[in-house]
Amino acid sequence: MQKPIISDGALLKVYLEGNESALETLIKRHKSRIFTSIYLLVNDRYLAEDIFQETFIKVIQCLKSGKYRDEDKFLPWALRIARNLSIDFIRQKGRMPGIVTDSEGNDIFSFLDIKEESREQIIIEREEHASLHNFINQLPAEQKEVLVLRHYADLSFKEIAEMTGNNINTCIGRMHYALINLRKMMQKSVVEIK
Amino acid sequence: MTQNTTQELLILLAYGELSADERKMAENAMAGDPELRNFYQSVLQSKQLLNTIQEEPHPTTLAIISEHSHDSHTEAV
Repeated sequence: MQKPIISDGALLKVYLEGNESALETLIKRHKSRIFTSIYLLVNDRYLAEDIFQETFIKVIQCLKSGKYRDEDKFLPWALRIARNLSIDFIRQKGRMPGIVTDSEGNDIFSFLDIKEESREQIIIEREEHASLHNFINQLPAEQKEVLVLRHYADLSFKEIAEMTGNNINTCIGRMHYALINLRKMMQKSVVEIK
Repeated sequence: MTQNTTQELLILLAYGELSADERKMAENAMAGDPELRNFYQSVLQSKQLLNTIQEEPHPTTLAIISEHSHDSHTEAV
């Protein structure tokens, strides 16, 4: 039998009553969406780890101080914090020398136990993955933001409009251009490979 | 309706953001226009490709958050 899904609001209530595992369930439920969004926005894995951590520290502080009341909108709220922190970090980074990090963060020694053919397959997949990541990063900032928030954070266009302070049609238009531009970059790279 | 508006409607369709009536309108627009059908297919393909990127935070990051939460609970008590 399928386990009933406890709402985010119910988990927050239980967490504030002292049940630590409720927060772990919430994080487990949303970590991938939040982390992938941060990672794509800042384009730096280590920075993304810091921002993710700081996002949840802020979340915990707000919850415990009773500042958060909108229990049914946990994800958009957490993402709003993550987005604001990401923007702050991007601004700071703009004034600092470039930080070079491994975009994959993979352990190269993990290749050693893998058979030759599957190793080749993994390399191909990682290259494709890196290209897509690179294409997303080449998009104009406004288009990239809408793409990340709509596709990876799974926010509706209405939520994105509220979060970014833009008109909903502007957000949909930016998504439209983001998809068209991504498509063009992918087609161009296929032609270049051929 | 302009081509851009119709394409945007199809993006909303692909992301499940249309009402039943709007969905019908989008499907009718596609039925008579192969170019729009192609556009919709390309949006679905792009979505599929974008899904290949899925990142997870490091377990250490999660452990630090849990520890922080636990500590702040203890302080409150």
